[in-house]
Amino acid sequence: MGATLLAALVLAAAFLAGGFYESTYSLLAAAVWLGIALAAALGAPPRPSGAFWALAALAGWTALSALWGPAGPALRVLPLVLLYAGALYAAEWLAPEQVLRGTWAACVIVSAAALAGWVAGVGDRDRLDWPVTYTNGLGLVAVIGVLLSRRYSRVAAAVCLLAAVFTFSRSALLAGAAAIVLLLALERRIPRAVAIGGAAAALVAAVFLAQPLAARFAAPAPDEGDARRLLDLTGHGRAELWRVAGESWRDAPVLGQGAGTYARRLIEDTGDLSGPANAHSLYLETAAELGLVGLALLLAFLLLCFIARGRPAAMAVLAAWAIHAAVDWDWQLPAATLPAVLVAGTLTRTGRATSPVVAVVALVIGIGAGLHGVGAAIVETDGSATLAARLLPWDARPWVERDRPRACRIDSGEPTLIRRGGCLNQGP
Amino acid sequence: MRLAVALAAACAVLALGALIVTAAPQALVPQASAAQAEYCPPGELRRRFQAYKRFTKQMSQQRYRYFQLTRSARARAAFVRKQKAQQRALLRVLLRCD
Repeated sequence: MGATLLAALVLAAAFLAGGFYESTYSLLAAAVWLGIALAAALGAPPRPSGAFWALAALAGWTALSALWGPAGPALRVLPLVLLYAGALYAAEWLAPEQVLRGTWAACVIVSAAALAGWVAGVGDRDRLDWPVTYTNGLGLVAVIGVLLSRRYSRVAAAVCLLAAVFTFSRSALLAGAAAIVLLLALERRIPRAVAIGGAAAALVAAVFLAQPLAARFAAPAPDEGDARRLLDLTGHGRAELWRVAGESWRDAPVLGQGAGTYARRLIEDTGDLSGPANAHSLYLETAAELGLVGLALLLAFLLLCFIARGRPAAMAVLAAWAIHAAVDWDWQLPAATLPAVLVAGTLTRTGRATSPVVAVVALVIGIGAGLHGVGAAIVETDGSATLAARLLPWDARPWVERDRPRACRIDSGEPTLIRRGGCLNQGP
Repeated sequence: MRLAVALAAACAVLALGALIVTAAPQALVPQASAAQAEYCPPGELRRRFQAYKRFTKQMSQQRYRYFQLTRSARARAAFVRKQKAQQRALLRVLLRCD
């Protein structure tokens, strides 16, 4: 039952634009935490793992960053971290086999839907992107499906592989290939000496090829949008996005600029109002926004998952996600990150019982995330500004259209506000 | 205590559901694509469309003015080529947002 609900969570995220929108991930976080509250009130909750505490600390640090950065964007991304922390805890609670099977089923359904949608003409005609609505994100979900399918069904593996290939996502296919090598090494299908030799050879090749590859990566080139892009080495603008993230980190190395501030930094640095909202690298964006403290908490989460050492397939899934997140905005796309977090929960579970006070804490978080989600939904659908402003008093967006001076008083750097003329002539 | 928390959680689910249905029911259906929201912020599509439309509208007028000043066939051809390339670039930028 619990595993089915977690699979439904991944499916809901996938079919609601990958869970990218603030209202979607906030309401999903509310569902997870209220579910935990209900289950903890009726049963014996397990003690959370160290990996959970790392994510919880990251959520706390994200909220704290509202003290030195703008409060609106910091609290806007908080429910996303809470969603992952809640999903990890829920996965630790359930039987690992059930969680793996539920996650696998969700990834297979998403991959099959992507292929069916392509045949039916839904979404992008050149590269698969529906239902996640981002090709690289869908590619990662399909790759996770391939990695988990090895345990259950070859037909499902073929479906996921086909979906992954037709996204023409270089990052997803490379991350998948690296994860498969790791999986074979963990299952001892590759001799230890060959694995170490291969890794050393790859390292030497990387050192020698680093400079020419970096030049090709940074060079601007059009995206072909078809199979030809698989042979293309350009980063499609990532080098510039990473440069901005690096400079932003250098300005505030320990504390960071504050959660959710990357978009405004990009506008400030490049003057381009239509640049992407994220740095296309989880680690660089975390360092830029939350400083070394935030990055250390994120890496601690990953490290604690890896040293827990569980099923090789689960470790391979987590490795694929960790590699892919280095070059894309998977963190902002719950459909791509939730499967990895759920699988991580099977590695980190402690199995020991803890105090039922968990239920009360989960209830408070669930209600908070839910109210935030309602406020965000109203902002996204241009509903009642008064109600949205009551639910999100720290956010300038409800006032951008109706009372610009007021929006400027709350947060003059809000990107939505800047794109609509800014605060120069109507400042506080 | 446990029963009270369980009841509160169940009530919270119902209350949040009711609030969403009444205040912002569109949030329960799939929104615009994630890639579009990432690469094309609100209002950007309209801005790019207007830039494309404005440029296309001015093309013949600018060509006429340039042709009055320049007699060289090669320069005229280069001007038209450049104009068309710029129009194509604006269209590409617009389509990336759509």
